[in-house]
Amino acid sequence: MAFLTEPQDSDNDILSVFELPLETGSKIYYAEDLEELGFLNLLDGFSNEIRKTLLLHAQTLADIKPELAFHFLLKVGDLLKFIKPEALDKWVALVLDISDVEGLNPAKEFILALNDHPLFIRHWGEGVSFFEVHGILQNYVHALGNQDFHLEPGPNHYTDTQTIYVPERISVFPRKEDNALLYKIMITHKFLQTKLGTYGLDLNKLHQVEHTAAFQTNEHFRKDATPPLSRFWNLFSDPLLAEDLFNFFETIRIEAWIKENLPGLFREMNRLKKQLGLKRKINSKLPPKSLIVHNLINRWLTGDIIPLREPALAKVAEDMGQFLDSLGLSRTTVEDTAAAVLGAYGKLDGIPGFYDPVTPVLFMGRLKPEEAERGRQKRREATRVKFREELAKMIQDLPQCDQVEIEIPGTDDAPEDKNKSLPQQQVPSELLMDGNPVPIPEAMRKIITEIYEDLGAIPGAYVATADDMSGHSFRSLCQTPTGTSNILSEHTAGVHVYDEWDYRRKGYRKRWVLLRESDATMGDSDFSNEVLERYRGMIQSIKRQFERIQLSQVLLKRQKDGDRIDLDAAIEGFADQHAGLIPSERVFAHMRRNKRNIATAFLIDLSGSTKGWINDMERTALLILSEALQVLKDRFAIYGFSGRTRKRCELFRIKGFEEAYGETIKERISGLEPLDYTRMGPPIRHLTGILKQVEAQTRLMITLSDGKPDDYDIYKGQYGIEDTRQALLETRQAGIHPFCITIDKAEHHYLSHMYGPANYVFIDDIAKLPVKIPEIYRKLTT
Amino acid sequence: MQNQIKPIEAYYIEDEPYYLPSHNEVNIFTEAYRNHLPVLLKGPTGCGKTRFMEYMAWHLKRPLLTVACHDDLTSGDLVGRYLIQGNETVWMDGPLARAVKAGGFCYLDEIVEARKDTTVVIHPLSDNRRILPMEKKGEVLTAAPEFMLILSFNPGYQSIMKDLKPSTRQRFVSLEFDYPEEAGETAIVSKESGVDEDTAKRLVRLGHMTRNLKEKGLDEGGSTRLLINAGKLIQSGISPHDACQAAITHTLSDDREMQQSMNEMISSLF
Repeated sequence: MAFLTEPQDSDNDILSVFELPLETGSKIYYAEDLEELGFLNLLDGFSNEIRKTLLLHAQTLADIKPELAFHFLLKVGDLLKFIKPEALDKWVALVLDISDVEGLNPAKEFILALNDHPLFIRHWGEGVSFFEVHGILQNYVHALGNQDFHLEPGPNHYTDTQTIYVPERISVFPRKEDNALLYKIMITHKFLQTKLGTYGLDLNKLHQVEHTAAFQTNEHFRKDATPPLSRFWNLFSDPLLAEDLFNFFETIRIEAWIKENLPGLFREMNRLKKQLGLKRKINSKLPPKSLIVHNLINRWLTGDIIPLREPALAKVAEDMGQFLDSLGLSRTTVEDTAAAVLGAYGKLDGIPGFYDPVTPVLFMGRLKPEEAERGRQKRREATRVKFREELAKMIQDLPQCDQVEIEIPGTDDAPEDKNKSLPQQQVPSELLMDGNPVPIPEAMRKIITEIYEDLGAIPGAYVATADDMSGHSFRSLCQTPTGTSNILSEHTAGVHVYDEWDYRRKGYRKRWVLLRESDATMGDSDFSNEVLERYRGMIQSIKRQFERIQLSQVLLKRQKDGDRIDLDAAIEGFADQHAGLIPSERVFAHMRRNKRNIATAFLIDLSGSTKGWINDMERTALLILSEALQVLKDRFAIYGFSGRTRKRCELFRIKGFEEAYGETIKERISGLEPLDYTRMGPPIRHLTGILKQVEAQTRLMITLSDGKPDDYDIYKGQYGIEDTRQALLETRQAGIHPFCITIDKAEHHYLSHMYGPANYVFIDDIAKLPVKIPEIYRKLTT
Repeated sequence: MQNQIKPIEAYYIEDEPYYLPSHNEVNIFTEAYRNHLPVLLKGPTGCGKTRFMEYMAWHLKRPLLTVACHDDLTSGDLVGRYLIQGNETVWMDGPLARAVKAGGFCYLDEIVEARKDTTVVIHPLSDNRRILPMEKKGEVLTAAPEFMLILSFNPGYQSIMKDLKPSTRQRFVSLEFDYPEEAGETAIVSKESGVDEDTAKRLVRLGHMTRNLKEKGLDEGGSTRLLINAGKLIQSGISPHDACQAAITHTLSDDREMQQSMNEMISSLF
């Protein structure tokens, strides 16, 4: 980057960024101190344009926390070695974010740490970060197959059959696309490990186990608790070698599947394999066993055979090649891999020396049988619960839900036996309830498919005895015990219990949140009177706009068909006929009734961050909107929410649907005050429930918020966003349209993720809220 | 203004349409026809319902009148109306009346989209009476024995407003359509678009991947029709990647992230 040096005459512009004296944590700086530090010359190396930009950024920082501007200016020269000036917008926004959420010192640390800070690395580090690709690859892994996989960053790369853990960042290749491709390969590979049964090795199918003399039984070999893979590796005297061979050979088997089913990916993989191979440095000091394995891996990666000097070793290496070929065929099973491992291990056994584990190939990752077993149990349990829930739903539709006799064709009466492998059955299309055939809905069929894939049949225990099946007792099956330090109690009137979505486990935490609905406190009428007086003109103009929407009945003339005759057209027709012209056939008129049948619920964020100006503007906007809505006669309700922890979510009813707008409502709006935190999921769910009861053709839920979901406990960041998103999905499924009006200055990607890209709007100037909100409402509902 | 009316003969299907049966649908439809029962075809868009209709009309040698239903379609459009022709008002039969008179098949595609007043004409035709009341004419038509009423319905897009009431549904024999299983779908894609079997296989796999995303980001997975469209583009010389993007990705989703995910799927296959 080259900077132009021009003579500067604005000596003092740097100093005017902040008010002097400047107080920092350690010292107070006067103008002379800053000059001594060399402040005046900090921006000397930059062109006029860049200098201006930098000063603007410094000013932005100084307006919030002058100390941050101070450190920024001191560091900016170094900073620009790592990012371009155009990226500073985002960088400064990040600094302010950190300062808002965590405070001055963490923000200062971020500035001082330059390119070493983890957040910096995440945004501007080299290569590709998990956070950049995660949304795209999450959809991709869902598309690959039916199972629900979750992607997460972690220090080790592996899968436990529920979650795939990948590195936080990959910067192996010079090209960004190749790093992203490596993520994709890693994820596909782990997905296939699960699909193709890598962890499901059935030792009973390996006949060679007893007959080969090459290994001895290890003390670790315990029949019951150890997963089959661990047991297999421990059959060998060097389990690490067996593990590495197994991992490698499985990768080849998986690759054969990719070759047949995902030919595009196979082609790209080969390209990357060559590059990976070239990066691997062969260390000739490796013990011979390791050398051969290394050699073999290299051969697989690049196709080249690196000659080994010792003829004995070279011979063994060549022989090992046959295993690569046999596993490269399609339709092999994991037992074939195990057999190959036995064979290969046997060949290596004759070579003297120990085995020093070779560097694994990046995308292979590790195999963790214990975790996979835990994952499998978790998934099995989750499927069992889902199955019971779906069954409960089907029963609830029946008129009598106390005693129901369920029979599913193909149910296995024997208890779940992990080692039994039954041939997979066809999913039945109906089951019997009290002897009557009932069709099985799609959601249920998917679950039954999963159970069949896992166990082969539905265990009798899943279809429990009849009295367990009534809807209510199902819910109590899933209840988590509530603690004793609740601020709200479940048994108080007006308190509702809601589930919360935990994105990490892709499931609901049952009965997790307590929410209380109560009337909003009254304020005084001074505020509302003042607002209505001051904004009288604006209110009139908005009312006029709304009046225009009101025209509900339209007479469409000159129609081909209709409920009355359009006299004008008919007369013209006669005239035309007399004139010898052919009359038009459009002689009818039709009264189109555009009945406006809308109900809207407004949900206002009353968190502490709205204190001051924002709160004033919110209240003003609400008053104005309520006044204007009187023209339309649309039904509307206003609720405010706040809360602190999951045990105390508060929803304040400012105006219910059945309440008429009047003095009481005005005073409640005036009385709105900023409170605590923003746990958005529960109020959305509650309001969805309220809106569901309202009869209207179109139902809207409009949220007014100043930022991301946030609460005292875990409800922030990804967790809060995902629960809010899930709650909004539930809202949409109920036929209600959610929409968000935000004044959050920070980046809005999370809003797109929660509400959908078209369903939110950002108002940059809070002062415009009173005008904008009615406008948005009008646009949404016409 | 003269209206050109196609003679009923023009609605007969001369050449055998290509249709690959998946279950017993041809037999069931034929027997329903013989028993004078109306049929409801259920299934997602683009999985062969219309093609099946063409096949059955050809097979049973009846004329096929298809009506694409939309929310301005009233019973008047189906039954007929008075038109001014020259000096006179002339009654013009709608497609339903024509089918009833000629003993043809009247196929109402996506019936839930039409106005509710269409129920008034559907009900009498779909129960034992098999009559069509023509209010404006003051007549009642009795259906010829070969007449058959067929409705199609996509259970996926369920809005509270647009639903088939049980009183309507229970008059019909229902045939459920779904995407064909893999081998069948590959054959169909290959035959209809002209691509070779290997390409067809990859397209079908892409279709399966998109269907796995139903309710995990996509409203509906890609239908067989979408895959055929992509195939046709490929056969015309467009690169597989571009063809799939145009015919499948951008048709199914407007969301940036989802489009990029679909790109990843396409580049895994081609």
